[in-house]
Amino acid sequence: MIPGPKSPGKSLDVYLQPLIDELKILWDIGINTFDAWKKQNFIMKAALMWTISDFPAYGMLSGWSTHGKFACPYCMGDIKSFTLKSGGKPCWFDCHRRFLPINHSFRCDQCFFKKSVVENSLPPQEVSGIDIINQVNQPQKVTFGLKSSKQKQPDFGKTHN
Amino acid sequence: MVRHNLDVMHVEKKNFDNIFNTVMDINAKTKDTANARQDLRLICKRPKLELVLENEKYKKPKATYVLNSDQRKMVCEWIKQLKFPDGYVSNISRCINVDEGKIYRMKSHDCHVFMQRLIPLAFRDMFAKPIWGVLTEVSLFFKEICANAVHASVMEHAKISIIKTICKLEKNFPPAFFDSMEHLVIHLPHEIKVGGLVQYRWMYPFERCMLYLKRKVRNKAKVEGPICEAYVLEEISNFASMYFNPCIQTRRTQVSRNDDRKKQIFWNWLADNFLKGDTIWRVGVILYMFDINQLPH
Repeated sequence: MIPGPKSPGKSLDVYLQPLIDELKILWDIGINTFDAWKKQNFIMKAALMWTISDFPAYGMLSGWSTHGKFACPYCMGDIKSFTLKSGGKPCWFDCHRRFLPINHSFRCDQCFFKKSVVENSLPPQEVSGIDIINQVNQPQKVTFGLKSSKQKQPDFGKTHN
Repeated sequence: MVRHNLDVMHVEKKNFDNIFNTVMDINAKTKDTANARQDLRLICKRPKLELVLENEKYKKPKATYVLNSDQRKMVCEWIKQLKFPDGYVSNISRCINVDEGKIYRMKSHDCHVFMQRLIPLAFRDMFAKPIWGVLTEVSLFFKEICANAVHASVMEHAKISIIKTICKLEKNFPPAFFDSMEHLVIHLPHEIKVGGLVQYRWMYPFERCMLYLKRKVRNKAKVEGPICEAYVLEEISNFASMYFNPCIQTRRTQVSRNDDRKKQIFWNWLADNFLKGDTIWRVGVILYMFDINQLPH
């Protein structure tokens, strides 16, 4: 699991499979467990609430890369970040005016933010629990098991990294 | 719904690094480089900051958000003489090189304290009000979200205020300053509203655990072996110590660094009253019966 050229990267799912299997059992059936205080058995059920990780691991676990232009896992494809010409790095300059209220004075500011740009767009939509279920149930075209790291998923660099 | 947590620890550290290195103009770490100024010319309308051609050499004009060398020295000297309560933060004054105006070897937790406590003080009267104000706002925001009791309405307010703060940063700092970490800050209040306090969702406990394991490595070619070996040994000595007379000092009854003798009094009291060279299960029973804080002194 050590990050580096040999890290599992996108194939982390393989290592998670046993965990997922056990979690499924714990969620659907449960497991007989002893309660030391009551001195009797009970059916224990468990659910995965969330994961806590640093950013490289976040990328592996969530499947949404935290590098490059599309690094923000909340905004996902709906971004305004761009690559700097001389610096060569992804930049989030002027991506935050769209989060302001629609009548805020900063939105019309053409001087201090990007040259002569008036921001009219709305912030990216917040994803609710139902949206997530729909997303998970209707997976988009994904090619599993890429043969080399150079092989890219469809729409790479346009809607995702 | 939160599926994966944004790690507040790393976000805060990277934000602090960006701000501090840029403001102190630390070589090779600052975001305000010549390339940044070139990009600035393409993207923004700030003629005062653009590179100037002088004697066939490009020169970087001084920016309002960068301290000059005297001010840098003053900040360093101020940090050098700081003193903190024991256990609050590591000795930050060790990280400062006053002559070069540099700061190094800052750990995540030092950055955490610096970000929340020292930034407003360190840069006071050094900058014009708008820049000092915006740095303070960032600092206060992190203080707010790391509080150990957070009200939903406060987060609702923080969600709006941090967007304005980042916009104000954008007004003053060059585009190259804004990497993904500056952006992720605006999603933090939402996570707190949904997921609860950051203390239960950040990486500090895990990073500390990693250090604890890392310290056990003796053979760097085979990392896992020594960790297992040392861990087992520690457990054995831990369990074995439970069979000792409680007044014998072991790793479990070790006196802490700042000792108010409460623990020792407790063990002595236990030994005098209940246990006379007795076994573990009785200790367990007694520990269960008595809360350690409600003991006679």
